[in-house]
Amino acid sequence: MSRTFTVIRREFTEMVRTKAFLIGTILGPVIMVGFFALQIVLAQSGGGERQVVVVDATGQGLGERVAAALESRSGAESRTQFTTEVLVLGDEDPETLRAGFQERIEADSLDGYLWLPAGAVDGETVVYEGKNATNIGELERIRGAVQVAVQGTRLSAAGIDAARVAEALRPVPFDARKTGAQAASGTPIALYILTYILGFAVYMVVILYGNAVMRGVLEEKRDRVVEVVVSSIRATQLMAGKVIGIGAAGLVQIAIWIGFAAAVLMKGEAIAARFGTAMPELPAVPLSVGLIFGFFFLAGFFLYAGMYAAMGAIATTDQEAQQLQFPVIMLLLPGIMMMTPVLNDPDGAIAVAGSLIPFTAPIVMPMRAVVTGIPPLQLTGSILIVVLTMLVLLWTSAKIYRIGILSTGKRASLGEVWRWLRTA
Amino acid sequence: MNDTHRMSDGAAPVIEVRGLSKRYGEVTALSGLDLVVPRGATYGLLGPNGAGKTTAIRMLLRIIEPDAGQIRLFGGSLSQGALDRIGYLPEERGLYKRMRVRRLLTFMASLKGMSARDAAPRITAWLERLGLGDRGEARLQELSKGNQQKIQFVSAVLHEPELVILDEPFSGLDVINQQVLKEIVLDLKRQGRTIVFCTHMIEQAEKTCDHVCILSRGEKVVDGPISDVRRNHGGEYVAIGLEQWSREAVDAVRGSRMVAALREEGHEIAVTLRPAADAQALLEELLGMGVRLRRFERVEPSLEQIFLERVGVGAAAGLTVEPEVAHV
Repeated sequence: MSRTFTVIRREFTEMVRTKAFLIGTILGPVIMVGFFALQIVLAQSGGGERQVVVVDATGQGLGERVAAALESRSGAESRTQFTTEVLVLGDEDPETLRAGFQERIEADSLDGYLWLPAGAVDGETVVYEGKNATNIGELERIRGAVQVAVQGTRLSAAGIDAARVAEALRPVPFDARKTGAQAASGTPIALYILTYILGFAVYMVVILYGNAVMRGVLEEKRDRVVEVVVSSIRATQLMAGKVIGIGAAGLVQIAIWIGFAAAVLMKGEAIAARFGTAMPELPAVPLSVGLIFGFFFLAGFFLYAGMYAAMGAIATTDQEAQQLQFPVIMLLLPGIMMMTPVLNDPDGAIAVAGSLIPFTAPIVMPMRAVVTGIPPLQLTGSILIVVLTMLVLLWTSAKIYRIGILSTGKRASLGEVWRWLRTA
Repeated sequence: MNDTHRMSDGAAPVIEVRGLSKRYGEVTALSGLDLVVPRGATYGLLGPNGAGKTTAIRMLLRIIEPDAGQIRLFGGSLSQGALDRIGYLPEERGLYKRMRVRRLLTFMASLKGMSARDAAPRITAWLERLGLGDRGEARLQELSKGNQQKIQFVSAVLHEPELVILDEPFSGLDVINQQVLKEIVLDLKRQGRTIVFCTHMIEQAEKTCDHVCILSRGEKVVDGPISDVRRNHGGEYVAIGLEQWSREAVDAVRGSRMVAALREEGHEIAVTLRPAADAQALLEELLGMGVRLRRFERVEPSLEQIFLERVGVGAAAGLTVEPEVAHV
């Protein structure tokens, strides 16, 4: 064991000393913060002023109503402030007017004009032309204002008080909280984000650190280091040391990220206030969810890292290694594809199947744990299946690894790998 | 010598191998090898490329498992403790290029069970000795190839092993490093350590080793102390130096009924006499034919001659008599 520990220590220290590790460790939180900052900045963006001419050809005062609705910001998500000038169409030539508006738009003294045709109240199409006609949020504001104004005019024509109808139709505020003794509780959006973070954490760690294991094996083989090392310790000790050492470096990186996230969240109120917004409500996560995540995170890493080590031992060049990792990723991807179905129905057939397939369970199980109480039988079954598969794969990988690391020249064929498995 | 080394099994051979066999598919790499390497010997494991030398070494070091046979090291089993007492310089050499020199050597020593504290002064001493005292914190890849090779030697002997196995030690080395390695080997020899040379350069092994085992196509051809090997081989050998080399003179020697085999070695001719032939009679015959000689001497057979006679020229393909100079 002490020799394995020697290898673990070397792999760990060499890994954390690389520039890639340093950059990844720093860049992780930077990207995390940047992502959330971008969300906030985007939410606050679009707050400009728009000058719009409303041409009213209805003769029913619709233009004034549209202008009033457009200038009012109540209930609107867009921060744009509209200023309007209403032109009730008389004898003017429409084409001359349009040409004039176009000139003003070109000269930047106008953003656009809204044409309310004579039959607008009866269903004739209302047209807006302007340089902001690609801004979906602003177009929605304009469409909404026309809708309110036309409905008001129609109600008035029917002798109904528009204000009383609007009051009666006022939207009901609606909110939701996920509850459950075993699962996490909180707002749907917070839980949604949490499940995705957990699922992708497993995926990213397996891909990034599995790759690091594969590259490490290939490097030892290509640089002819391996023969000296396995003359002192068993090949299986070398493989175990490599997988555990690199895995430990990955854990440290994630621990740093979690620590950083915790620090940010503790100051969350202050940071949110600086951006002029409120801190979103955090979900309450019971310890059991953390334990399930921890277990499947580690089991998932070891399950795949063994395969990556074997691929590194089979390959002789970087290109071959890249090709060989493709089937490994193919085993991992269904877990990612199951994320949405699992969230939609965490106790459904797809979720249960994903929990019992050893290659998808490391991604699916932590997600399910967040949103539902997993039946004990399923949890035990999943753990057993994952552990058994992990042991079988590590054992198989070790056999391939033992011979693969000493075979140079060209990449081994499937037949050769099969022979290694039988003879090792 | 390190006083922590276990010397209680002092009388037992360092290596004792019985019936060692290994097959790769249809190819027999090694077949029923018996081998005894006495303590303190400088032992040559010789044979052409593909004879099974590296396979045998890899099984001795537990790198690969034998199909059959038994291995005993230092009188005991092939244990981790036994492996810790061995230093190994493989034919396929390499080190972690991105590691710093001292860290690398500490790692290699700890794989042999040494603590970092014990390794530190030895690393300093070795680096000083090889003129690399100021390169301890350099990364391997920053060193010249020659200096990387020196670090490789150090990593093999840093833990002061009782048995040192050198697989094709001089291949790929520049002239300076060949000399460095020779000095290290001489030092080890003076300290009474057992050294196993695994090489296809038979002439060089002949100069260095006191015991040999010659392999061919996975089987042992001959083994034992060199003097015994020569004596037991039988036959009479004559080295002839011609005063002036000519094809006619060589053909005259070849034409003698007493000559069984003849090999030209530059301006000299190595002759194997037929059984019952008399060297004196051959000398008289040559003088009678008017062949003028500079040298006529009865000699012991070279290992190469013995090898060639035992297995034939075909099996000896790949055997080198001149030291290979590195392509570094």
